[in-house]
Amino acid sequence: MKRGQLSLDLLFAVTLIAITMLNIIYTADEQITYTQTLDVTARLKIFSIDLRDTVIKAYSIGEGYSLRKQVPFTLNAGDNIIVTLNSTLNVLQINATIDNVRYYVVQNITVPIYVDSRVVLNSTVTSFWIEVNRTGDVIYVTFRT
Amino acid sequence: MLPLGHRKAQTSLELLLILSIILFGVAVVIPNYLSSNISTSIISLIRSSADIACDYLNMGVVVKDTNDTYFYLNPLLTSGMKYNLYLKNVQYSEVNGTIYIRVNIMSSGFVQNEQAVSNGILNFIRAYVVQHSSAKIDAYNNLIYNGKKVIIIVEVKIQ
Repeated sequence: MKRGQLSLDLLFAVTLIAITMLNIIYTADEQITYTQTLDVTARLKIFSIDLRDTVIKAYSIGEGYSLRKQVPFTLNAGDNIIVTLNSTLNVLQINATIDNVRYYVVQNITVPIYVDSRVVLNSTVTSFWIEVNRTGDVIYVTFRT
Repeated sequence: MLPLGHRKAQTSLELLLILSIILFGVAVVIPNYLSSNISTSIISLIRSSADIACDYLNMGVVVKDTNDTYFYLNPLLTSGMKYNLYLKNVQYSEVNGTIYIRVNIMSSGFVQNEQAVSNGILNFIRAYVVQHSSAKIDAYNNLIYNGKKVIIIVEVKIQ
């Protein structure tokens, strides 16, 4: 009898521990997914702010100035980042697909854009040129891979 | 000296008495414990989801994942709006079996459409609670958590 009772106690304890463990694993898994998304989100936000500031600086430096920007990510196959300068809304847009999750960021540009330009970055193309061009009296910034 | 049989019966009677006292105690304590646990868990769920909503809007990056977690918040961001929101507090009250939860969110900057923002956050919180607990939405669009109706009010105030 004593032995049987002990094993029943043990069974109870094991069940309770298992339930607790499952709960902890579930919560941890959820938190990890959330944190990973937040991490990518924060990096994209920083990237967009960096690009916005760079475009404005390049415009103020003027014609002939160009610099190369590197993506602050390691992009896997299937991931891509599309950076667009939109002249109608006068904004910089970043559309990204990373691990099958799509992201979108907009930054207002305080200098005139005039010309739309767009670069697609992926696992093989990880950097691009930001150039300042001039046509007549109009100075504008463009992107080129 | 008492016969052995008599002593055995006495022990089991004592055991029964003690067991009944213990079980009675358990029966008294557990319902109270569970009901307070239910309200605590719904408050913490709503608090954390409101926090997530504020962080998401402040970050200003539209995320479209496979579950479309941020479906209700994304329309607030597509126009490139900037937000500066933070969760001030969560107030809880229970009247006639209905749980009322008031989520107060402050904005340290101008918000163009407070109504749209509070509606978006409210819908996000409801979807989050349904996804992360046993809560259900009934035919009248009420949030039901453990048989209790939960009414959430989200208010966005400009500081």
